[in-house]
Amino acid sequence: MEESALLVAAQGGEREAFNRLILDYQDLSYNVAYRILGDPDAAADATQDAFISAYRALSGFRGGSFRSWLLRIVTNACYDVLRAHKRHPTVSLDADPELDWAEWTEGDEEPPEEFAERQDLGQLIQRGLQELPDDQRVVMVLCDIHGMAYKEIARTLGVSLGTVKSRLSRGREKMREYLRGNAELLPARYRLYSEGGGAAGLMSLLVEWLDDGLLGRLLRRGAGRYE
Amino acid sequence: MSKLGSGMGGREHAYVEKRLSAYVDDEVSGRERRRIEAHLAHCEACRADLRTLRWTVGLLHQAPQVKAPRRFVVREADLAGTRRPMRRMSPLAVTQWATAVVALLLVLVLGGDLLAGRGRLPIGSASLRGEHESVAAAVTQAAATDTARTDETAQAEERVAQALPEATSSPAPMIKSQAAAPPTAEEAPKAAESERAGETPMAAMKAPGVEATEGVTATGEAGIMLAAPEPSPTTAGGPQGEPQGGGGLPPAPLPTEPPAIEPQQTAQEDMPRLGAQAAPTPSAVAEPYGLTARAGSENTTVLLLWRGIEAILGLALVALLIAVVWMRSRR
Repeated sequence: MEESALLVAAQGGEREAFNRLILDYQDLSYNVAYRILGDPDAAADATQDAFISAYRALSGFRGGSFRSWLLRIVTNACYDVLRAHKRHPTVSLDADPELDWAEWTEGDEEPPEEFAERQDLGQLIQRGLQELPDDQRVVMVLCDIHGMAYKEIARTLGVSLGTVKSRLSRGREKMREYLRGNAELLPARYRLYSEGGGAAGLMSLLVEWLDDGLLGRLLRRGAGRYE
Repeated sequence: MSKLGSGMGGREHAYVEKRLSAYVDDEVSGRERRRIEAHLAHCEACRADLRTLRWTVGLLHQAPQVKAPRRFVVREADLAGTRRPMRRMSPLAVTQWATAVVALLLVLVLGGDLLAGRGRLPIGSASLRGEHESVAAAVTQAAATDTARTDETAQAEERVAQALPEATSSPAPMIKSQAAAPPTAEEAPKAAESERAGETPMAAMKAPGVEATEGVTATGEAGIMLAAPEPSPTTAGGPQGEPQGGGGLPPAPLPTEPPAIEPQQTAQEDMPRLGAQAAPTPSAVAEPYGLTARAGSENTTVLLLWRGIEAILGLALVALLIAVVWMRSRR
C-alpha cells in the first residue's frame, strides 16, 4: 500500500495502517529527536509520544507533506521534553559517553576504522549541538544533519524563512567555533587543512567543496531553469 | 584586508556575513548572490569565513545516523490510557482543577441559597444580629415557599381562617402586631409575593392586601414594605412598591399605624369579596412568626449547616487560589 492509501485508512481509524505508515519515519523521527535531545531514552520517549499525538491528531491532517506534518509533532514533543527538563535540571541532557555507538548506529559498508572515526565525529557534533540554544539546535538538526530544505523547515516549525536563515546562520557560527575549539578531538581527516589536516584533508575538502558547493549549485541552477 | 580598503567595505562585510550561511545552501536570491560574490572576490576574511563555514556544514552532513532502538507503534493501550495523562498531570494543574471545582460548588451553594428563598439573604444578616427566632421563622417560610407552594397556600388559608374573627372584631390591635413584626418576617415571603404581584398587577395596584388570596403573609409584607419606604398610603398602593420587595435588604423601619391600616381598608372597600381575606392580614403576619418560632431549633441547625458549608467552601477557595498563585510564581 502506498502512503496516501495508508493515510486514508489511518484517518479512518485503522491503527495498523497508521503503524505501517510511520514505519518509514521511525528512523528519521528518532534521529531528529536524538539530535535535538542528546539522550537516547528521552529521544525514544519523545518519538513514542509524538506518534501517539500524531495518531490522535490525524483527523486534523489536511494533505500536504506528511513528513513535515509528522516532524512538526516530533519537534514539538522534543520541545516539551526540553521544557520539562529545564524545570527539573537534575536530569542530565549530556550524551552518554559510555554508550556503545557501534552497536546501534547504522552500519554502512565503510571500513571499521572510518566507521569508528565517524562515531567520534558524531559525538563531538552532538556535544556541540548541546551548547546551542534550543531553537538554533532544532533548525541545525533539520537542515545540516537531515538535509531538509529551508522551506520545509519553515513549514515544519511554523516560522518564517527569514527566521530559519538567521537561526541557522547563528547556530552554524557557534558550531564552527565549537568544532575549531575542539579540533584536537576530531579525527585527522575531518580537520580543517589550515589546522593541520595534511594533504589528505586538503584534498578531501577540495573535493567536498566542488561537490557540495560549485557543482551542486550549478546543477541546482540548471534544474531551476526548467521549473 | 579589502574590508579596510574601501568605505563600503564595512557595510558590505556585514551584509555578506549575514547571508553567508544561506549562500552555502544556495538559498539566496540572484541579486544577493552577485553582491556576495562581488564582495568575496576581494575580501579574504569573508573567503576564510566561507571556507570554515563549508567545513562545518560538511562535517555536520557526515554525522552518523542512528537506528531507532526499537519499533515505535501506537498500541490500543496508548490510546485508551486515560491513566497516562492523569499521571502526568502536574500538581499545578491538579490545584487549578480543584480551584475550579470548588469555585463552581461555591457558586452552586450560594446560588441555591439565593434561589431557594430569596428571603434568606436578609435573614442571614438577621442571624448576625442574633435574632435566631426570626431567622427560624423566615427559614420555615422560605422553605415553604420554594419546596411546596401548595403547602404554603394551605397553611396560609388556615391562618386566614384563624385570624379572620380577630381581624373583623378589632382591627386596631392587629395593626399593632403587624407593626411590631420583626423585619425579617416580612421579607421571608417576598419571593412568593413578588411572583403573585406579577400575576395580578391589577390587584397589587389597587390594594396590596388583596393578594392574601394565596398567602396571608404576603399581604402583610406588602403592607409593611410599602409603608417602609413611603409612608403615604396612596403611593404605597402603587405598582412601584413591588420591585422594592425584591431588594428588601434594609431592615424596614417599623411602620406607623396609619399607612399600614390604610391599604387594608381600601382593599375592603374596593373589593368586598376579597376584603374578608385581606382584612386579617396584620395578625396573620404575626401568627406564622409565632408558629415557626416553635420549630426554630431544627431549622437553625439546617441553616447553620448550610452556612458552614458555604464558609468551608469559601475558605477552601481562598486557600486554593493562594496555592495556585504561589505555584505559578515558583515556576
